[in-house]
Amino acid sequence: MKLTISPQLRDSLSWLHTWLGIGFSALLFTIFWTGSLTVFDKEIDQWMKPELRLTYGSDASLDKLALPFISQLNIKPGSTLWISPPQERIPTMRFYYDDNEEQSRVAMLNPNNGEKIIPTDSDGGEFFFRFHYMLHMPGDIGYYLVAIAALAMLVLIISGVFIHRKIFKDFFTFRPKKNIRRATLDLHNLTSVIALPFHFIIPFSGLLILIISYFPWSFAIPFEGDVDKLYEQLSAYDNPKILPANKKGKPVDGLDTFILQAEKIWQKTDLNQTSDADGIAIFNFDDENAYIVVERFFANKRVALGPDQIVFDPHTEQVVDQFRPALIHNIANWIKGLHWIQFDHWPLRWLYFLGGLTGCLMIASGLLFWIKSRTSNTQHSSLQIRFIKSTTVTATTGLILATTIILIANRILPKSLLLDGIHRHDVEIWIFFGAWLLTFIHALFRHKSAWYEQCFIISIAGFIAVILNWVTTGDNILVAIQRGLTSIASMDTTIIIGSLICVLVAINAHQKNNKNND
Amino acid sequence: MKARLTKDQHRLIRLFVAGFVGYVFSAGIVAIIATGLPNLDMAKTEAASLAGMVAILVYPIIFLWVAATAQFKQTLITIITITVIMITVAPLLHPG
Repeated sequence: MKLTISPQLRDSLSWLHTWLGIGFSALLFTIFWTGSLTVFDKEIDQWMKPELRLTYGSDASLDKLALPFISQLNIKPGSTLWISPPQERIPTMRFYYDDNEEQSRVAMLNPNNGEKIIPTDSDGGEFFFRFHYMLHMPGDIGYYLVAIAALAMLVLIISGVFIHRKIFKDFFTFRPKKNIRRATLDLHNLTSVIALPFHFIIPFSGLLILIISYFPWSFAIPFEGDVDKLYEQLSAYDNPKILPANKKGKPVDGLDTFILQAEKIWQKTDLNQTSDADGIAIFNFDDENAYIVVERFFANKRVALGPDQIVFDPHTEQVVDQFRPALIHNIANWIKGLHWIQFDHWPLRWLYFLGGLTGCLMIASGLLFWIKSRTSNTQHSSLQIRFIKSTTVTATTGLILATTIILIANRILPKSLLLDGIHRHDVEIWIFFGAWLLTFIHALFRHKSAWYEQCFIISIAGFIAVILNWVTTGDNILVAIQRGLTSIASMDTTIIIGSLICVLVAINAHQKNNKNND
Repeated sequence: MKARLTKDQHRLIRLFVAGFVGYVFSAGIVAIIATGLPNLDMAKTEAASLAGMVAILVYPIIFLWVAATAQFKQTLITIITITVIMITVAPLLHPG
């Protein structure tokens, strides 16, 4: 396919593509890498918190397990208690509530034996998830930076399509044996074109998730200047709708029946292609005005997110209300669901992961191409080039190395730790950022060999992480498979494959570096 | 002495202008759709959901247009005029 546009326009778009790419690639790589990891956030959670490594049983009864457990929790009367039943990817039963001191709490239960789980004090996959959309920055700065990067990505994709003279031919062109500059450009074109729809839908859907916070004034106009009213209407019964009577009510029971009833209603409306409930809430807990909401937000058998809710009177067991998003809200939720990928579909989950890695490769190869093109350019001082090279290495291999280091730290640190008021989960994060900073210093001093040296260290760190997992938990790949822990076996296997790839890349880059020096 | 901007400096300024103009234009689009469509019997939440999706598509188009056009000034004037109209009219469309 050949796009005919004026040379002047192509020149402008090419300039835009180059400089916007240079400006945002480090940030975009970070977002893509952490996003790719977040595709398997629940599995990372199980790896980093071994207490969550349970086999999934779909027949866990909330009445038998959750109700006795609730009575042990110090839940504030009149507040809201959310219970998430076990799911294939999260085999624990989870309770989200406010205690009598109005502190938000999360408690976990092993559905196989009814025992309370006290997991390792680690952020697990949640760290990569939060880093993906808020960059671990204070306030809302991270949100906005990620949004600007996502918009830049959309502009880069569109401008990239226009500046390609032969977009179809590029799909089949990869000449790794040619010079590095040509090979990296081929790789950049190939990875861009091969996952083009994915690269477009990911920033688009990501922006849609937080769109209201980017234009709060515009969205507030039809809601009397109060954007919270829009949030309330979109989330329906996620917010309390009936006020507590402030009188002690009868204890709520029959949670299994409410879930069953809700699923029957959904089965009728969905023509039997229904998804399971992923949450049940008791609003106005322990109060006369208590009411039940059964929800499927991250439904397991469909792309669209919720809220999809059925409200019950706990005493009469009658349906009081139902909420289903209307058509356009549902379309938006479907697009958001494409980004959240919380539905159960393993092949698609792996494709997402590969799509994310392709994005990383596209960004890194684009940067490499630019560096190779400018290395001989006399306009740039050697210090400038050294700094750009170091930043590139830090943003790519440095980030991957910091990721493997946090896995090692997770297995070495004691289960709970308090260092001068710093909790274990924060210590892990400090180690991550410390390791990342060290990769920058390393790249600054060893800029000619930093690529392959860091690739080599990543591979060693990867193997160490897998061995430490085995030593500290007893779960090697074979044991994990025997125990039915496919999440752990897959994670270990992926780390090993990644480490092997890094060894090959390191050897290859080392040989090419030696050749150039000769 | 008046310093002339290099081609790259001129393009860089355009980039920032495009970023800002793209944002305000998209904000205008959100305002006009979110307030206008409820007057045609669409639910407010539906109009807001639609406005969000349109805004994301509009932003890169406006950005690219401003950044790459040969008629920079005319394009800028056109977009800013439309934006001002949208932002002025949107609150008037809200019956409340």
